[in-house]
Amino acid sequence: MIIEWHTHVYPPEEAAADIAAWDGKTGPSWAGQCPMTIENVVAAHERCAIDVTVFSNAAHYMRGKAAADELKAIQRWSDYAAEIQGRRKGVFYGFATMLPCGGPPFIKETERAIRELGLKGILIHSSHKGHYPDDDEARPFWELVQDLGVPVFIHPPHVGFGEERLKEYRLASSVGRPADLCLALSRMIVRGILEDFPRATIVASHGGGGICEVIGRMNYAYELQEECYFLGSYAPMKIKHEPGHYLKRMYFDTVTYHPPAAQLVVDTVGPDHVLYGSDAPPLTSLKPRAIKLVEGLRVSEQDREKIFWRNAAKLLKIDPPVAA
Amino acid sequence: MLIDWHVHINDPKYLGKPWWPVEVPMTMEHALETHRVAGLDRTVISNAVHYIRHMDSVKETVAAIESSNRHLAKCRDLHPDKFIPMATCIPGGGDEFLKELERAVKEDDARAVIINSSHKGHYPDEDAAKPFFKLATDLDIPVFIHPGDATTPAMADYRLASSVGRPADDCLSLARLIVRGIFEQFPKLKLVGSHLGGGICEVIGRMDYAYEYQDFCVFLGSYEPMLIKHPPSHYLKMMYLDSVSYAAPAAECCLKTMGEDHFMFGTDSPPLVPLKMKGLKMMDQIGMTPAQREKVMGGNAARLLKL
Repeated sequence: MIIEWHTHVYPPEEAAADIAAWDGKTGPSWAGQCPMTIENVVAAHERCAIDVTVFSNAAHYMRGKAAADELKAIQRWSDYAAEIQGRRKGVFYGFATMLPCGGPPFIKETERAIRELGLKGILIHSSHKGHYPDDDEARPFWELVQDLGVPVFIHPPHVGFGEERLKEYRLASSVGRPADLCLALSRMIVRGILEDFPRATIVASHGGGGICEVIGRMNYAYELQEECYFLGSYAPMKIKHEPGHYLKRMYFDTVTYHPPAAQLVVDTVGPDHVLYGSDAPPLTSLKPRAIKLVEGLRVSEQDREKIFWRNAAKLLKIDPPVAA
Repeated sequence: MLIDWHVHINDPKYLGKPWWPVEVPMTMEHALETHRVAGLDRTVISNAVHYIRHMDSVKETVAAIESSNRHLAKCRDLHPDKFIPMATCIPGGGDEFLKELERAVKEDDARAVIINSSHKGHYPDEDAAKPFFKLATDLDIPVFIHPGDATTPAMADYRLASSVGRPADDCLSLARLIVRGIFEQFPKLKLVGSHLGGGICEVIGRMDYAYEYQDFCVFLGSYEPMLIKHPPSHYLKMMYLDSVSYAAPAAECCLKTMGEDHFMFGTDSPPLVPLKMKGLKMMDQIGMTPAQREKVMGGNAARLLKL
């Protein structure tokens, strides 16, 4: 039994648009070959004998949209995701895509996407046009998601910071995206989002983008308040425990394509907080490798089952299929 | 032999304001005390010279680096059974910096060189840095890459510039060196990344598929001009990484990625004086065999430093 947590779909017009693939303004043209289509998701699902697939929209194109067009693009995706979910009930589950700092219209759209359309979770970017999800503007969003009771999946945008050094050799994807994700998660921890909204269910993509490597640094920076004076201020204090405490309340997917890195995530947060994912599509050909990675994790068979589907089923609040 | 690869002693001339916002604990006395407490055989001392970013002229910067190099040599002269000094250099800085590096190695017997992952926006993969790597390989000394200061506004509070920003810059710097072909140009280079490589062991899978799936992953961008002949992980394994992380699962990930011949014990203490023993004890929690332990805890460092 496998629940695939991490696949991406674009609405057909965005997938078909012969525009720059990174953000709608720069990057290579899709040239009619955008891999993030529902057809590709279904084919990969069937080819790899996946039981349930979660599909979300990383919506890199949002970065290139004018502010006035953002809400419309978000609403369009919600409607399309609901349409797919309705056509393939119980097998494909869609997530809304949202801008947490967007303000009241986006809060309203979040409610519509979950309560009216029945989408199963919400994808947010680790940053959007310089705004991070710990910003004060995002607090109404976090209040709402606690009440909605759906998971919030944090995923990098095309690139967050340091862009000038990430343009070559695909480094924006390889290094920049995980780095932005790591920064967003660390900011959410130290700025008290998990302290203030304890019922929010937060799932980080890509094994957390490296946060399991730097959590030791975050812990001593917190613990040694006075002795590490030379690292700078920690005021105003917004948390009551070391950052590692909050990290373990988050969930992480296994999208790393490097077995020691996935094992690091499991060893850091425990097997109850790890979900199998592949990021395929777009990395369609790599899905078997992503499955093999989980098969090779140093965990008990019971825990492997949790990573392959039980943890995801719990977060999605879905009854496991009879076959399970 | 127990060797701590990663300890900082700042030049006393630049310990406080205006070079640092507060006086930093990177003193010889702290290094001696932590050396004693941990029962080390050798402490490798280096100076990341974060303060040179406040200097404008080449003359002033070279002078500051020479002063630091001489100070670390003096610390070793005072405690030759304890300290091994590294010199400091700016890779793309020009001939004056290279002359000082050569002097520090030949006259002061500096056994390695520390460089920052970036300096004022310049990264060591730039063409201007090639003479530096030529010199380092000619001198046959290891190059230790350590984070510079790459703070962005989103990292400005809660010590995130240190916790997240520095490792991220380290990772980017190492990644750029790999894809820009440093090991194709200098296959004998001994490159050591600090802090587990700043997260590169977590993203190396992404770097590998971005290279391997040249055509399929066209949407990730260009890989031209191609400067490497193997997947990035091939070159990562030619590097060495130190254990400074204070997170045992992360150190274990690094050990598994690099292998025991390319992983080295370090603490970053000083400045993290209270954490010395925690850094040492962490090494007991990462599942090493006695043979692996011998290499990681000092054997690899001794080999690189020609002790």
